[in-house]
Amino acid sequence: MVVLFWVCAIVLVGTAIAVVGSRQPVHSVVGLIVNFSALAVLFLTLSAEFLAMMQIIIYAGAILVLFLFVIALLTVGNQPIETGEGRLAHQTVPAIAAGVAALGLIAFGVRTAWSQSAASPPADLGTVPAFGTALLTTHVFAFEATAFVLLVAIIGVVLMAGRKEIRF
Amino acid sequence: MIQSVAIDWNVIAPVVVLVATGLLVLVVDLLSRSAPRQLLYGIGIVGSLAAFAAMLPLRGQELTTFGGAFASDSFSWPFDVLLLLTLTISLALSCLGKAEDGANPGAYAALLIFCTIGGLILAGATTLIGIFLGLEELSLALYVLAGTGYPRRSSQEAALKYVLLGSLASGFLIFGMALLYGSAGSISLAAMSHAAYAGGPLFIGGFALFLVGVAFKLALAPFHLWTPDVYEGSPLAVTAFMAVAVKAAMFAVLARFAYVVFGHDASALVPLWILAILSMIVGNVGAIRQTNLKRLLAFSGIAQAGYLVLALAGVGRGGVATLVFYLAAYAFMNLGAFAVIALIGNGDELHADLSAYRGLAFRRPMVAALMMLFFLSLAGIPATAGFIGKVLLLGQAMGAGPWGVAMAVALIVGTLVSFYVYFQVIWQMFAPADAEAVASDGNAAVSWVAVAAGAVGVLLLGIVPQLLLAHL
Repeated sequence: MVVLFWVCAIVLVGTAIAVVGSRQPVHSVVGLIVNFSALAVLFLTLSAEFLAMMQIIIYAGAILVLFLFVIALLTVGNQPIETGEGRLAHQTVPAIAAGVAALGLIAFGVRTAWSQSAASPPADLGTVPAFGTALLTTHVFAFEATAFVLLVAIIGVVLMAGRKEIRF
Repeated sequence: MIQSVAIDWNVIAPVVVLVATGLLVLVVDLLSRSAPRQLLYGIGIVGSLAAFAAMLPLRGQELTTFGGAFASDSFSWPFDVLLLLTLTISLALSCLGKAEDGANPGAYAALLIFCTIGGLILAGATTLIGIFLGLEELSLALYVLAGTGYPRRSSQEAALKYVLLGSLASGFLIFGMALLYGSAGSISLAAMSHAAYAGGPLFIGGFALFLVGVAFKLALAPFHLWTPDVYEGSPLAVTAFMAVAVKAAMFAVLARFAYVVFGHDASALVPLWILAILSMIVGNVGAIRQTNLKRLLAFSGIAQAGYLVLALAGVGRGGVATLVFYLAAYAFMNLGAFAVIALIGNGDELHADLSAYRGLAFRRPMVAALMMLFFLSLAGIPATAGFIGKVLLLGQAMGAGPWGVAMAVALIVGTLVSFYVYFQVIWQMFAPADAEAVASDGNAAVSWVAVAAGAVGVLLLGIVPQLLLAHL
């Protein structure tokens, strides 16, 4: 288990750096797919089966395939999108500062959650039956409301894509 | 055996009626491609009136449904009424816009309706997830609606700016919610009050990030930079909707948060007071140099959002009544002003320019008088709704310690500055006219209805405020 964790952790960090660092959008997406798969394995080791499946089906499956389609359709040839001096130059320092701040907050949050959990979580936490039960009883309002958020997104796409002529 | 959640459909009936209306509009649009826009918007108006009828029996009751995840109580009911009023008037104003080639009126009306549903969910949600979903539904619909004036580049710019900055703000909001959940161990707002009492860096960090997200949607300074461009670029009816509905829904959330979570600890809201003071300064000063009425009203909206925050200062439930009264006044005067712009422009967006109003008092004395009424109310002159609202706000703020006094001073100074802004518009209406502006004035019956509704509201609330205050 520990070996699996370290393998996944190294793959995760390595691919994350590759996503940000590579100049080719396609390489970034491939890195992200590997990243998400490794994350799913990590979820499995934490016995969060449902989350692991969702990670694979939704993120690695649907969203990243969509990314690939967008890149394939929008970029002609294999020219990197950003070249030369046009890149945002002053981002490095604020980005690192924000990243460190976010990391600090997350670390603090995890520590707090750990210290408070005097009562250990129920044994079936994260399993598919427990998740499904909670989704359709406790959180049924959120479950239903999500349907309308998705409907709004669909109507929005129809409205924007249905234009006869798009001027840029 | 799985324990199912008891659902009281009466509590959520207004939302269900609006959902049915939205779907009906889509189906009618699908089945008859040649349905006139007015029919689709008319269905929407009838639906929002039906939703209002479904709300009537819920008045004055404290009810929850979906296992406590959705509530209809004094924090949601008045805001819901304002949302439905805004939807009705925006749909009426939409009838005016020029029929564009390739425009899709069915999807447009459905988006406006679903946007309102998002607002209703926001006002009624008692959990963090509900708040987030309501906000996303409202925002996603508005991002698209901002771009529906699409042959104009400014509309595309508005949509793009709004979606990029809005997504960033949503990111802040959900990260803050995650931290709040971490500190409280529950997504329910009622459970969060213990964590608020205990404080701690995790809760404070979470609330700070949450507040950034909320302040962005409310256009509180310094998170207001998107507002003028988005208000200017969006079609007029959408701008009117955006100005009123988003504020009503977000203030419902903020009021619920302030009273349920921070019920006994107003000092935790100090960052909000600072944002309010900043907004009053930025909004009023920024409005001085504007020559486009939509931009001017955007800056005015920033300042008014700052005023509205005053209502939450001080402990005790009186704040909600003040908040609702000023929001109602704000809704009437803003919808009225936007309806006048629609009336003059007759659906043409270029007519939001201030120069189009030169000499209006001589050409169209009635329209000019009503426009003057709305701007006098925005400035807060006696006998208008804005005056009573500001008096109530000042009363609320003066009882709220040093920060309340600071905000009251900012409100008075801001109001003095805003006199210059609003009287500039009135002055323009009495200035000699440009020749070419005269011919293109519009005069559509639909916008007259909206203008009249605004004027009646402003005058009634200004002269007999008890009509509303007695019911709050």
